[in-house]
Amino acid sequence: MAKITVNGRVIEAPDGAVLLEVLKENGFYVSSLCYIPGLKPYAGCRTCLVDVEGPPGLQLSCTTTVQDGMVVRTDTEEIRAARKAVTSIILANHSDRCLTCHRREHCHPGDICLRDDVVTHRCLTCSKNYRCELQATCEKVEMAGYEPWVGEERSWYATAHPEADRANPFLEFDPQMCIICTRCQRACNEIRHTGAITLSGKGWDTRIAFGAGGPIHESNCDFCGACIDVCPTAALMEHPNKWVAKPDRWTTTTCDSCAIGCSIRLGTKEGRGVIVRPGVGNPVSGNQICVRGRFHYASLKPRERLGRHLVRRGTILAPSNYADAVAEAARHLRQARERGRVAVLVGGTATNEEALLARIVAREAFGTEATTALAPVLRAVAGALEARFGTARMAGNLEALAKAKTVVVVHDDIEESHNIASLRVKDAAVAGARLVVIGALRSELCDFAAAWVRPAPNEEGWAAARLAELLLGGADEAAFADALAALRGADPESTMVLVAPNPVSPGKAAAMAAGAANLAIALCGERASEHLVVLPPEANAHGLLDLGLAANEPDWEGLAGLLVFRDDPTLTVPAAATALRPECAVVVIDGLLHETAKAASVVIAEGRAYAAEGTYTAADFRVQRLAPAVRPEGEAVRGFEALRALAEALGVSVPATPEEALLQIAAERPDYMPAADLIVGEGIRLDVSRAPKAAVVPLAEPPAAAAGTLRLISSRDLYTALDAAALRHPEAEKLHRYDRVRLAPADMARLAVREGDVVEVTDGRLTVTAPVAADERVPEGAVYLSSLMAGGIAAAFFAASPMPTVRIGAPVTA
Amino acid sequence: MAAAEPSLEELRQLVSEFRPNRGHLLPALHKVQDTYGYIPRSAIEVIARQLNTTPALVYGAMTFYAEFRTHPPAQTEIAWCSGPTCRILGGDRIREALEHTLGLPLGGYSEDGRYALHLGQCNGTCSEAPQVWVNGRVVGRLTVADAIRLARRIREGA
Repeated sequence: MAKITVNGRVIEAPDGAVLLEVLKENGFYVSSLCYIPGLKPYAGCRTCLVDVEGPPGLQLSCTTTVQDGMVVRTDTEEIRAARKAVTSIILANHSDRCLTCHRREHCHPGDICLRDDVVTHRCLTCSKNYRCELQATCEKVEMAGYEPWVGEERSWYATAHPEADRANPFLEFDPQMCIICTRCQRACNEIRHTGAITLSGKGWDTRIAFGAGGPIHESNCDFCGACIDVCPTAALMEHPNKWVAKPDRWTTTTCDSCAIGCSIRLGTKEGRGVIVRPGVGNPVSGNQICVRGRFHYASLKPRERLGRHLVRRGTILAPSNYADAVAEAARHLRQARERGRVAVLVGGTATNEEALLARIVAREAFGTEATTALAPVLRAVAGALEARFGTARMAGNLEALAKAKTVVVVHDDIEESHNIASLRVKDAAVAGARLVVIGALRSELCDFAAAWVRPAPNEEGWAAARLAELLLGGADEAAFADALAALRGADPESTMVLVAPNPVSPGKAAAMAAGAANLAIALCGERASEHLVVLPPEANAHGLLDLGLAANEPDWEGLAGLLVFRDDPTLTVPAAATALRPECAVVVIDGLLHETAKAASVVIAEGRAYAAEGTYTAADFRVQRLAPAVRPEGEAVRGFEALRALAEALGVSVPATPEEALLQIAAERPDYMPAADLIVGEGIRLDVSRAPKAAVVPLAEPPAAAAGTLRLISSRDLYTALDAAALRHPEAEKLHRYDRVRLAPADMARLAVREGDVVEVTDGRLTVTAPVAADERVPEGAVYLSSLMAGGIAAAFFAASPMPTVRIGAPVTA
Repeated sequence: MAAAEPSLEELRQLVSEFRPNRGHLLPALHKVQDTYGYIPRSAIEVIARQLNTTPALVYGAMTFYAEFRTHPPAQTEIAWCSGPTCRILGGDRIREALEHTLGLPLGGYSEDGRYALHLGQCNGTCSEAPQVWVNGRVVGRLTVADAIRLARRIREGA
């Protein structure tokens, strides 16, 4: 540690630390408009000037490092004058009237400015007013009241302004507001490793540009929004709720879009979400989230969510009050129980506490075990792991990716399904780890990989198993040569294996888990389970696994009653539709009127995950807190409350609050005990012990596929919103990339179909009709359909055949 | 006008000799421009893939250098020298004359693609100042009358 003196105060700081960060941590104000904590300084804005004794002139605190005995001043007259001068240069080419006008507090949008007729170019009409870093900086450096335009030429008003890009549903880019701090370019490149942003041109014409200079949605931008987080002005803004995103409350909670469980801060205004920023809590996500976490809170309009409880009256679902709906639900289920079997189904975004309640209700009221539509896949994966490790809970920690030297990923494409896991893998690869990717799709990760093993479509698991065999002493095979070279001699201690089992095909998921397990054992031996992370489909899949909800699969035939909590099983399990007959009393507790809810006798409206209080168990058995961030729409209640009321009406006693429910879970699984002390947003890793054994079990041969047709590949895509997909919403995928039949360009040429042609994809019995899109990720001889496309049609193809193949018909004329 | 945009396959073939991390970006851009007279947008993606980098990086480098064109060249390319010697000797009036007679701003292309006017950076042939370059050939020691005559000749297609 070094001792430095700042404005006469002695502070301690680590030797070599960035002076700017040390000053800010210790409460000294230094303006800085281009620095990003943790990244190399750019020294572009020049406003972080301080006076360091010794060297002549003022120094930039972002490029100065702490040395013992340093004497620093941050508030001399010289510094203030220099900062103002530098800021005025930045403002010279920015819309700045309201930044510096002494009347800015008195004016309102629509007022006529007495000094200028261009009233639209002002903070009061800027969407970032009152949350703009440049605006705040002007206040802090005493630029308010400085009037640079009096007698000076104003270059901002003298040149034509570049056009804003508002052509995509997520990100708005207005280069007029840009001060070329390049934070977005560096965040995209150095934090996200995407590199979608560049500086184009030079000198006066320098601008931020995306991709090859076209619109953002034509670049390789993934819409993660890391650039929005760092933008000091309104140049980069979220499109949804852009004008109203001035929240009255911020709540740190956990994203419900995948099993990483990223911490998010959800800003709400009058109970409705208006903005999401990364939250502090989950060390895996750190300060990053993906497009789903940032934008899927707004995937549906408030009126598209369910705000009323519904009770069936003949053919219609009529609005009802809460008490009547609960009583009706209990009556229907009780009567169904008298007639026969009642199943209880819990969705993958239910919290542990909600799942516990559903399980208690299932046992006490219906004499059955609660289950989930994910059970086929989760059971298949658990079976594969138990055969090799004697347990289904892998002890691998995603945080260990930061120090990993060797990383293996067995996946369809985690860039799409578990985006932040992919980001951490890229971090590791950029830091020098050898990355081996096994997957038929050309993932973005392939660009970072030392070796990419590309098996035949859907044979990822078998390829991983084969690689394990070769590592354990087989001969080299050409297809695995690079991978073997990268993996031989890997240090077991710093090796990580990630597997993302396929969400639609239990057979493929089991093979992927088995192959990855064999590979982990080949690489890490006895301790393999500590180096293997399973990335399951959906946010709380591992919580459902821990609570035993994945232990058995529902038998859909001949059900007398069905209680569904926050799920549309028809979206993931095609067989579920057979349960939705008039003879079966269906009660749905959900915030959406989806296919299952439409067939229900009673629908109790609830607020879904962002209204829930409770916990999720993420992929690496990290328990993350959810806090109620949004208010359920209309008369809807919180999911936990709906389940509790229903239990009461059925005469079952259940924990009264989520806290009590968590304590009850902890009584059953003591490793959940520390989670009871978590504060909102925090997470804690469960103490998952090393597996009792680690034994390679060979895989049976992959199922044969019919020859001469296209193999079907399906996985979770990055952009489709789960909520909206359950409603079969035409805008479930707002970019309209994954509501399409995706084909390799070469196959498109061979089949004589062009981008946008509407085609039929059929296996002989099932057919889906959609436009074609070219996709370089897809191997030749394959078709890619998103798992959430067209009401989960891909799952139906996989239910019909373990290795489905399809034909593509000639384009259908509209 | 130049021929239609080359196919992706043709572009891939053209840049196949270049390798990542060897400073091959500018040679690749030069080769594409030398072949087609400009850099088609589709080439940016092809070069990025070939050099294992991002389209944004290629685009950033390409736009930094004024020499790279994203537009097929006109039949007659006129570059107005903006160097200090030319300007001291009245280059600004030459520019005005050219802009006015051709009806184009600096950086503009005529509607039929026959001629275009660009900003040039000093190439050191200051003995010929004030000058313009017509398809790379120096036309120097201009007077405003010379410039108008030159522009008229080009405009009328001589």
